[in-house]
Amino acid sequence: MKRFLKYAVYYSAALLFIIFNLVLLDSLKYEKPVEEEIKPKIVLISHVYANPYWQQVRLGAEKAAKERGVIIDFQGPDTASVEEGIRLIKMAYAAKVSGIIAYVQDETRYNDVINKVIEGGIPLVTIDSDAENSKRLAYVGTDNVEAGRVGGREVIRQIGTEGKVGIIMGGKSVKNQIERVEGFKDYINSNSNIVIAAIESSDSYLLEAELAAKKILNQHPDVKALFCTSALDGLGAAKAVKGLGLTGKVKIICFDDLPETLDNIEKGVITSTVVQKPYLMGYKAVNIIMDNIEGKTTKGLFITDVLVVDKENLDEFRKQQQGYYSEIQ
Amino acid sequence: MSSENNSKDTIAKSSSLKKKFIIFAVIIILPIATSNVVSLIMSNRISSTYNIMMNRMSVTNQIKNSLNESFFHFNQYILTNAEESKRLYKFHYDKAVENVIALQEDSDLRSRYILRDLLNSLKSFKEAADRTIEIYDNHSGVDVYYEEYVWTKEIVSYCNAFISMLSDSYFDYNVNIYNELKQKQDHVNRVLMAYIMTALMVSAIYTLLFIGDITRKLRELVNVSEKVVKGDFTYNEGEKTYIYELDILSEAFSKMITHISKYIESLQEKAELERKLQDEQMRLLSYENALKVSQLKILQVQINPHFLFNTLNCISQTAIKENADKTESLIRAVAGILRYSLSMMDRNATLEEEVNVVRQYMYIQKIRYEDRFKFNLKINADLKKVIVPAMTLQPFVENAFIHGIEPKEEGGVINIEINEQGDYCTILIEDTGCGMDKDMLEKIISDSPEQRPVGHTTGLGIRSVVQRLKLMYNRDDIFSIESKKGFGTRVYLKIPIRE
Repeated sequence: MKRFLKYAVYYSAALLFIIFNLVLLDSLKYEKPVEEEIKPKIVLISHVYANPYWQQVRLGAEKAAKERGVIIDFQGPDTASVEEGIRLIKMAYAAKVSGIIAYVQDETRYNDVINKVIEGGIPLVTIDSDAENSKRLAYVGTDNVEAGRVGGREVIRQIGTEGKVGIIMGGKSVKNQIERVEGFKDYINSNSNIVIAAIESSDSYLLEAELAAKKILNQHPDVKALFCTSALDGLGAAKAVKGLGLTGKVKIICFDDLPETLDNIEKGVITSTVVQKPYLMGYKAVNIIMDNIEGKTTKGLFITDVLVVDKENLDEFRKQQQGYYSEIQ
Repeated sequence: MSSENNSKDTIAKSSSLKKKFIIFAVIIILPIATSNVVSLIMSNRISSTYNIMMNRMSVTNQIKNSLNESFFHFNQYILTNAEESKRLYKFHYDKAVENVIALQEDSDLRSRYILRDLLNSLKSFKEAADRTIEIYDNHSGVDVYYEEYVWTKEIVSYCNAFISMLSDSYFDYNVNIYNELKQKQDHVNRVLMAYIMTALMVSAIYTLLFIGDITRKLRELVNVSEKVVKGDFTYNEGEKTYIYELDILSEAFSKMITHISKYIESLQEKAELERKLQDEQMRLLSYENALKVSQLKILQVQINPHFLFNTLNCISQTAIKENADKTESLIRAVAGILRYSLSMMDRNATLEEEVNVVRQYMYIQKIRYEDRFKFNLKINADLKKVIVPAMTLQPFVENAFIHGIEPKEEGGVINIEINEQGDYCTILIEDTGCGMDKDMLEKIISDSPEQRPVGHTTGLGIRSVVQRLKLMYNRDDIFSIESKKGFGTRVYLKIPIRE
């Protein structure tokens, strides 16, 4: 019995040593990174790099890229900058990438660059904001006039055909903002008796949006709703309404689906939001580029529709968004 | 046979001290060697990673320099129109491209994408620069090639941007690898630590058990040695230690002790046997003694002396009636000797009584042998003063007859001279018979039963007579004898006189 125990001890000690040696050998293993073929590259130049909206564009683009066997190089200035945007396009052109998807910040200044790229034989598609007069192959994005009209319809749905509304826009000279306001005005003028009490600009800054909202509400206490044409305007307005204790009394109809915006809808501060489909834009843009590369000439306007999200369809919408993210991962 | 098996068994089961020490050394050395090797490999890997990183960084830097040189010479050409500058511009460009291609050979994925962009940008630079030069060579004005020149310059800046991206990418990549390696090394270090600790623990336990085994066995042996010193030979071989040398030692010790105790036992048995033998001899002696006594008793019982005397008396009376005087005196002499010998058996007598018995014996012999011998008795001492054991003198005289006179045809003389000389009384018994040789003399003096001449003796041998005398007076010089073949025998007795 004792002998048996002794041998058991010997063998377990030996086993222990062998295990230690194996662990050491295993940790010495050095896996060489798998040699991956490099794929053609499409450069996606956003408005602002870190913007969550553009992250969705990126997800859509990456989904399409995966399907078509290319990769997406997602770029963009840290803060909105025309020069930086142009530089990124030029850089991509110099690097002879397979395709460029670009957000147009300033149509007049972009036209030359876009034409140069197209002349250099590189397919270029504009996204979210167009340069109609350039030689770009196609535009993928929202029809902002139409989006404005949808906003107008939503306001009427919320407050009826009578009353005053205030407008906060993200920049008085920004093209898509102007178009949205135009569409809005057009719709309410032809469909209701709603009066626009004031139009303020926040230049897409949160604090300015809040101040603008407060200003409108102070000057026009009888405003029934605030229509906000950019993402941050909605949040600023929500802050102001909450600060003034007018939650629920003043309806906020805004744009885009920032997480805070959705949270505010859930809380009832923001009534509803007009949501674009950035994921779809990215997805479509890549496919258009690939079609052109593969010889299937695809040109023209590719309009993605908008969606109104309110408390009713909030959960469904969130689920869909999460689906996009998990798809990529 | 069994011990051989046993020892083989021990060899099979036990390991020698040397083997144990080797195991111990292996337990200690193995982890240390492993950890050294592993550490070496890890540090080699880290240093080679570092080298690769430095190499890439330096190549990247070379690309940057080449590009800038190339652009510088392109500028120079535009400024000076020197062919040399054009050549250098192309040379440096080629060098940059070469380096980029070289880097493409082994880079991570991200860097390879950047390298592709960089390579394409370099080509764009070349195209733009060549176009500029072409326009310039056509002697066009600045306003014609200016746009192209600016574009070239822009491309250079993009190239530089890509180069710095490349540097960042390499840096990130290597930092990642480094971190990975570092994590791995930390992991390895932890495992090594655990390994060495375990090894130390195992060896400590091993050593403790080992030393415990040794000391236990040694203590056991010491205890047994002490017991042996005290004379206790019991030793039960304790449990095996499985250390070859110790087991052998203990086994040998136990064997030795067993052998010693067996030897002692056999010695004791031998001693016992010897004692028994002695006892046996003693018993034999006393038996012999008893036999003698009983022989005598038998003799005594066989002839009832009273019956004998009465018969002799009756014969004597008859002889007187028939007027056979000679017969009557013969019978009287025989009866006298017989009575004397019987009555004096275990007491001492005076020399006078002894001489009387000798006279009676001589009388009988005189009648028997008539003139064949002559008997002279010379007495010059007071016989009453001399005490001897009964029947001392007669055997000598009888001896003289048997060995001296009887075998000699012509007969002889027997002389007895008794003289008083101071404190001693000397007795000489001399015959002129045939004498004796040495063998015969020995036979007579010795008292062994086989050598005693049986037959016509009165029973007591010369030797026992002498012995009695010696014992009585506690002296050795009482008796001496001399004899010569053909001339006769002389016996001298020297007896102290007691008042």
